[in-house]
Amino acid sequence: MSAGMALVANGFRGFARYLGGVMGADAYAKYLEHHREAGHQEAPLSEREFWRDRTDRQDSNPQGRCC
Amino acid sequence: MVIIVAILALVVVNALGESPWGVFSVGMTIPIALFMGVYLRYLRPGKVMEVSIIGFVFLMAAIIGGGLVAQTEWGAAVFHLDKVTIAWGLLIYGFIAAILPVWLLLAPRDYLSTFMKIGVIVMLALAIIVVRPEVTVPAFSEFAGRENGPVLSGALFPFLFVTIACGALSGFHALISSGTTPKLVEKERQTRYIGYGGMLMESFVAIMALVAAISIDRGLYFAMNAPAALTGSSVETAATWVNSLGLSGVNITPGLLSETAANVGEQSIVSRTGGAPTLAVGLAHIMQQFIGGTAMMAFWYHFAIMFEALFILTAVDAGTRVARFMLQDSIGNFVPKFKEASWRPGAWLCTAIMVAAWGAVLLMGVTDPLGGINTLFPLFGIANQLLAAIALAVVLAIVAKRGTFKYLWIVALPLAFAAVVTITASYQKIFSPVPAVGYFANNAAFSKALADGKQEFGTAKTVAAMEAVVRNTAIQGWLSVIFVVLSIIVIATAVLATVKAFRDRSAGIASTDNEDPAVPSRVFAPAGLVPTAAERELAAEWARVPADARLERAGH
Repeated sequence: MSAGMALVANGFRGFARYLGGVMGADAYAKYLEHHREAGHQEAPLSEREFWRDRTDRQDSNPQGRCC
Repeated sequence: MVIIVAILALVVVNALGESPWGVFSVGMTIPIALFMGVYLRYLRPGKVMEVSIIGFVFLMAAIIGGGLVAQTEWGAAVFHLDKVTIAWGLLIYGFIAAILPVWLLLAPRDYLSTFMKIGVIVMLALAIIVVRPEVTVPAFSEFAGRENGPVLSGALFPFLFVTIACGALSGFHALISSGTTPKLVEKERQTRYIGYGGMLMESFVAIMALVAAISIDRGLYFAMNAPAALTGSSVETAATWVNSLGLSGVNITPGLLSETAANVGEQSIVSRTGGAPTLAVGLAHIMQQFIGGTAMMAFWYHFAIMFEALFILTAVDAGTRVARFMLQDSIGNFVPKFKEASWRPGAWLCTAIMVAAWGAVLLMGVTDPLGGINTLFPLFGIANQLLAAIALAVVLAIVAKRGTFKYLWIVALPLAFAAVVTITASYQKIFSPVPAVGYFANNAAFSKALADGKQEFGTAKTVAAMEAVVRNTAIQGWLSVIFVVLSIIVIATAVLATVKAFRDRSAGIASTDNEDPAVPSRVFAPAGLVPTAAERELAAEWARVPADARLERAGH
């Protein structure tokens, strides 16, 4: 029973992660991963700074949209 | 760009005109998005899924609330707006939205729009499988072999192929994806599956929309999509007109038209052109059989309108921004101060100019006696496909310069098709003697009627309306001429470059291309969705490398 529940929970988590990926919610996690791999000396931006920087960048580099 | 934004805005105006429910619930998306923006910026940054779900709940509340508000007397009075008022509202909104910071309005609405889009598509797909709607439309419409269809005039060739079709050839998509695809990939070869997968997804959405549109009654379809000048706007005249078309199996009653309008919570569905209301009725028709029955039909209708309005408003906002930056850049070549994106007066001035540009086209469409969508859509379709031909021509020149002549036909074949279709369509729009097809023929017919001192002509019932037709057809006609001439110049240049590259190669002269040199990737990623055996082996090896040892140290 609990194994089944765990399986369902696991599947749901995977689905949520996938949906988050589609929505672009995992941008900060990806940034941290890249930051670690690239081996920068300075500390990474905090989550708040990262999202602020992201929208500010969108402000100065607008992108078109389509369907 | 300006025309695309104007057409998208026109679709929203047509969907919201005379619809208090729609105006209220779509209007509510603005405070919802503002709340989400503040939440993401100050309260809980980065919790995108969380805020999207909260926003979605608010959105549903706005749709249900819209129904309640539209039933009250004050609600119907306040939110019952005609199309011209909504067009002006949209203009003002477009200006404000384009100068507000991205985090406040655009970014949260982007999340909401993505959330809705995925939800609607998945739900509609499920509903189609479960409900299995019957298609009663014949394989070939009575209008297929004729040139005088009431929704769009002209023969199937070439006008079918200039209808903007998701998943088919589209210049707008070529333009957008050139900017976005490189940001999505880990290596160049992945562009192949992003491009192909994107095309399949788009066709999937297109087919879903097609199923929704052809599962509604055929008579209903024509009553909704023909301009008011033909249907006469009332249910009785619309029913008489549709039945007079002589369509097989179509016998529509005024009762069905008013009943459908009541079911979807609107005052009228006659001549609700633009496509969005048709798709919404189709979606509501399918979804109510899946969840909720007729009682829920009004909810589903406004749910669909909301979903369309949401992403169109985002596209309008983003389009205005992009256009503003392009204008700022161009002016910046003469007045350097304009290049500073943060210089408020410059940004505001350029935004105002761009909004005025698409606003003028939008108002022209809203007030056009011929039905703005019906005359502007061919122009839009042709401009879009000409852009596609230009994109293909550029690719042709690049492939030729790289010396891969063996595969040149892969680009040349669609380019030839696109060029023939779009140039034929432009030619017919410019030179056709049939007023319904040719812009200038229509212009001449109305000018002559004016010169003869007629008080009404064709679908224009007043002298002012006749003058509007003369003005609009002249603008549309000259725009077509400019578009096609520019495209022919680009295509000819590309073909010349291709021929030159071929001659150079035959003569043994090394060709010079302007491609950046290839840079080996610093990360490992499979090229497709399903990794090959060799790639799986490499991926396993790559995963064994500790994260901080994967990249060469850049040393900073």
